[in-house]
Amino acid sequence: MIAEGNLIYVSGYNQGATFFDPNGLPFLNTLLNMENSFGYWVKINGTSSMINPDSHSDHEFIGSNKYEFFNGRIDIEGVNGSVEILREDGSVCGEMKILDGGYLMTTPVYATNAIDQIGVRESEKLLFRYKGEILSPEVEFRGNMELRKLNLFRVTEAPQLYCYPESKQWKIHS
Amino acid sequence: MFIAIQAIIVYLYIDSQLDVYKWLQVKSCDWESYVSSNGGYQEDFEDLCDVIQNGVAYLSPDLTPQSYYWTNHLNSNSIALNGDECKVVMRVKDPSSEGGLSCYNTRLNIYGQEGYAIVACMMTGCDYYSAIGAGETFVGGNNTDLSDLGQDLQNWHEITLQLENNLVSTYYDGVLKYSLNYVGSVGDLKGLKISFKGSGTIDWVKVKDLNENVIYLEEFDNCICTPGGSVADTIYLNPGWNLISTDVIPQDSTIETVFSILNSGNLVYVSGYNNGASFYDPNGLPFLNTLNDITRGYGYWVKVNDADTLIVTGEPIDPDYRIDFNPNWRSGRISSSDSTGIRKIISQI
Repeated sequence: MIAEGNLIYVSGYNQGATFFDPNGLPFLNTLLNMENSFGYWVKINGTSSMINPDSHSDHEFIGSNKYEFFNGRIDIEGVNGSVEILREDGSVCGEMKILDGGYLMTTPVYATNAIDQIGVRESEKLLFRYKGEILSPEVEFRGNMELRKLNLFRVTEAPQLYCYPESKQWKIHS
Repeated sequence: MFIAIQAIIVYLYIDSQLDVYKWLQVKSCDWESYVSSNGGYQEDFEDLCDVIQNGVAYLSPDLTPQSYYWTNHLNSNSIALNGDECKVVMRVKDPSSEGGLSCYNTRLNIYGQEGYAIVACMMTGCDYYSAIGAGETFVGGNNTDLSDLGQDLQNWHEITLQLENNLVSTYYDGVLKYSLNYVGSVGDLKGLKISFKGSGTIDWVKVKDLNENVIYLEEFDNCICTPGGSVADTIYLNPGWNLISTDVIPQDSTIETVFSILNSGNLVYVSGYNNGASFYDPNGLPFLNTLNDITRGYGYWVKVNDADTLIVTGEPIDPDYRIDFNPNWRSGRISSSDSTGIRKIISQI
């Protein structure tokens, strides 16, 4: 694979991240040996988009090795379909299928990484949209692989808050 | 020399004169259980699914017509460890209410390429029949005070047989009971046997090196015979996130089962990545989990609160097995059992 130039990077993790760049200066590599029982991230040429199989969505998302998960509930009567996750520019970066009882199926949102420069930026605001209606609250993207449990509700049902778009940037005023 | 029931002797005769004979190991398919008694009486191996039930190995008195008998559980497979530097721990019981007989006589035998080691624990007051030894040195209760080997096994207890620096020692629930210097050697491990007078029960058996690494684990959760035997992969987890893989295919690959060996409440999350990220939260609503099984060949992020040890048992992954690499990121494992240069590994992908 190295001979074909297909490998881009390998990354490991053992109480800290290590890195191997087959095309870089060898003495700058911190990942030199691969050990049994450890996992490794392997980045090869090309990008692939993916569809969340649980969302029944037509949206495609570019994956990366940095992401955060979301699930929870939507507090609206008679909901069905899915809740979209929006970036600050209004583009869709994730979608959560609505289950019986208003539960929102777990879904990842992928961060940008130094290689692709695509995906959600760290600390970027994320909004949630149900059938064109922006819900509350918004959250700040962390990309730390952890799970964020949401409890989404209509802005009108929380009168002290409202949202509006402004130059593709969503803001909340109290 | 391997001197268990699963050993055969091959004789070489030249001009009708015996020239040499060799003991040969006949490997078992995981564990084999059988009844024996006085006068060389021995029954056929039992159906393992009659013996391994409810997570334990137990040869019921109903399975034999004998009223005075021993039950034996034998594994004649090699274990990649020097028997002179090992620790074997078993969790056992043999109450009379479940078929324990006479002085109960609970024995653990370790068989090696060059010799064997043994500890025989009797009920208190029966130490005359107790025994311990390894290599060429053995003592019995008939010539040595082995009263410390008198054990109460009416309920679950752990018995350990440890060999280190030509010292064979036995522990009862982690407390040292007896040590003996021995000459000779046991050599590379070739098998284990656990015996009871009457019927006793085994919960699990662990074989460890002297650094407490688990080299072999049998939890008696599966009676299906796996050719080549099962192996254990020991994975040490640091507090926080760990990126792990295993070269073992677990018998039950559900996330819940694979990680059930961790300390209670210690697992926080597991995350996988196969053309997209998936997630398991042991404390969340089960139907919100998108990661439910371990897939061979893939790596996983595991978050724990405190340092812990994950032991995965099952069939080893075929060294020739490869996963398909789609463009973009992939979290995977390596197929080597040792640390291997990354360029060599990558060139084999």
